[in-house]
Amino acid sequence: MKEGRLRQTYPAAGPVFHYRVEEPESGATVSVDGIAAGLEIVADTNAVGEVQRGWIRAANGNRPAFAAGWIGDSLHLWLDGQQYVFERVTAQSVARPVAAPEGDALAPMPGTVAQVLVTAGQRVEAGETLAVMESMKMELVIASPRAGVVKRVAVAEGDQVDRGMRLVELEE
Amino acid sequence: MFSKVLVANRGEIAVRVQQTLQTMGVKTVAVYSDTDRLAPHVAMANEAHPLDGITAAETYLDAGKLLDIAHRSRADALHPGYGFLSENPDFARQCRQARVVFIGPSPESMEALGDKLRAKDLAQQAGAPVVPGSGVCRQVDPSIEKFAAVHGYPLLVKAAAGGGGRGMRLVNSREELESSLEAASREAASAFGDGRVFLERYIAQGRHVEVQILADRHGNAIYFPERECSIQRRHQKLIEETPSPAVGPELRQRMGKAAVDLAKAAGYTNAGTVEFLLDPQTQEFYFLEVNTRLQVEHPITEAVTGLDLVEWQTRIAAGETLTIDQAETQGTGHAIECRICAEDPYNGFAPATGRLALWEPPAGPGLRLDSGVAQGLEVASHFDSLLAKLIASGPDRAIALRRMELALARFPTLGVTTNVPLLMDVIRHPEFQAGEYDTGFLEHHGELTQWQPSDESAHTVPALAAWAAENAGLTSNNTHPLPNRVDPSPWRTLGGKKFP
Repeated sequence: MKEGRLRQTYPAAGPVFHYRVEEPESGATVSVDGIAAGLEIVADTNAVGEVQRGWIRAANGNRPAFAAGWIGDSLHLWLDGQQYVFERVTAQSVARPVAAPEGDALAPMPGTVAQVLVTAGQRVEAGETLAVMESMKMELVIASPRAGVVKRVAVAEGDQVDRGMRLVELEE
Repeated sequence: MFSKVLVANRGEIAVRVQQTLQTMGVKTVAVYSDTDRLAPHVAMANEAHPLDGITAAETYLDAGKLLDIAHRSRADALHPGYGFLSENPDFARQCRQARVVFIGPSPESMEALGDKLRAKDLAQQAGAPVVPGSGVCRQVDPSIEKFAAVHGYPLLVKAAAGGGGRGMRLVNSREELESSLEAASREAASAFGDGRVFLERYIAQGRHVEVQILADRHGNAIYFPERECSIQRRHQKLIEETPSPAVGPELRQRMGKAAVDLAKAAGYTNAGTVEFLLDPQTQEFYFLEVNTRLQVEHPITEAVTGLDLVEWQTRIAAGETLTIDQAETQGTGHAIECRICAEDPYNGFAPATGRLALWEPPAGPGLRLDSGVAQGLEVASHFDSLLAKLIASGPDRAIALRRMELALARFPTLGVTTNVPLLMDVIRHPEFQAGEYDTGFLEHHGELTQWQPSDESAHTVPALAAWAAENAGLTSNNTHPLPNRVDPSPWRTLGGKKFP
């Protein structure tokens, strides 16, 4: 029997849930938060590589195809045309705050920092433009999430940033 | 005919252009940025040259590098694709000076039509109605104030150069005017090297309908059945179909004639597209702009006519005569295209990146995929988010739509989030099914861009994720290693017993 905790991060953030997976020769059973899922999964458990393929028979009789694979720390799942991403929740990741430190300006998407319009020590108002990002030919204005003083500018113009990376740290 | 052609582009269009060239027996030369060296357009080329750089400006927009490679590889022509330098008359002129045939219109007609303000003047002279607009404006001055007062908000800011929705903003009120002009101008300057913008009256209920034309150097010009491109996000097309559900034979002929007249008035040659805004209530149409290049959505025209537009672009550029008669362009059946983009449709279409761990396109009757990516490749944020175009066609609209819906649902993709779920929802929407939609469709149906969990996603998905978490393969940096398991029967049914 294996168990663990997962949390959906895409398309929308979901609550942490606990699961158990039992896989005797007769087939796997899965329970989510203590409730058995009436779900039949047909797949190749010897599949080599990072992707599992198969189809499921759901309680309502539908039998959609799926594909799933771990990519880095994220579990990617495709089911009948829809994509989902989950992350494993461990003792450390529960303790880790989900959101970044209150009120810092984060990159909403991966891309390039096109312009930085503030410097450390500068007082900014909520909504004031701190930086401009570019990604896939789109320009996005990074507005200050609150009023405060710029503690540190964590990026420079031309920097490549990932989604969620801190751009500007703010303090009271 | 040319013996070797440099394709100065990347992604799906660089693949698609080379497919035709190689079919014609023409050798292809690909170019690539640092992050594109493993891309399909490079792998398929007869010859490939690095552009040594990461950003668009350092690579696919660098005319000097491209012409140097054309010279070194002894290419006798260059196909610009769409975007990048495809509508840049200076580049077309540099090609001419370097004795490399630019597969597209002349720099002169590109200048006349590619500039939206000059094109509107020409269209008016050729007898096509235009949307009321202002002259060039950089900041708010009395003439702009007056234009805004006469036409009222919302207004549209547009870039005089380029296309693809870049440098275009909707201005909802006077307060937004300054910042919108500034942002649009900045965006246009960085995308096209030309920051001129102007204001236009915004027609909210309009349908975006466009006419593909082909014209040769011997005075022959023809038009094709219109393409309906009203499903847009951020003024960028998402779904296109041909023919338009809103256009009948009489209107088709009037729009086609207006497009051909404009092309002739401008001395235009090669492939081009005349975009119109159609008021479905009055059946009035207004000239919007001319795209002096191959369009992203050209495959739907190919699907209904059986013609190869890239082949004709190449033959016209080589001086051949257009031998297709206007009567042969009618086409049969219906075709629809969906643009598959790396983006999050539930988070304001924010671009998505990552490695395409799984990319398994559907195939079957009436399906075509123009793709610029391959499984295992990294999708980076340096370029456009378009991964591929899925085209479905059939004897009628209902079959084409059904083929598209099924194909979208059977396109397993992992590693990069795409807009496929949104595309499926649009295709299934009753208004889309009825053919009754305009450019405001996605704004009117905001619920489509909000994630709505279904029963399946609430119950089945967590359980399947739990099973997959324990059974799916791993990549190197996963922190929860899976034990090596040996199972005697490779395919077995996992299920049966319910959890006690």
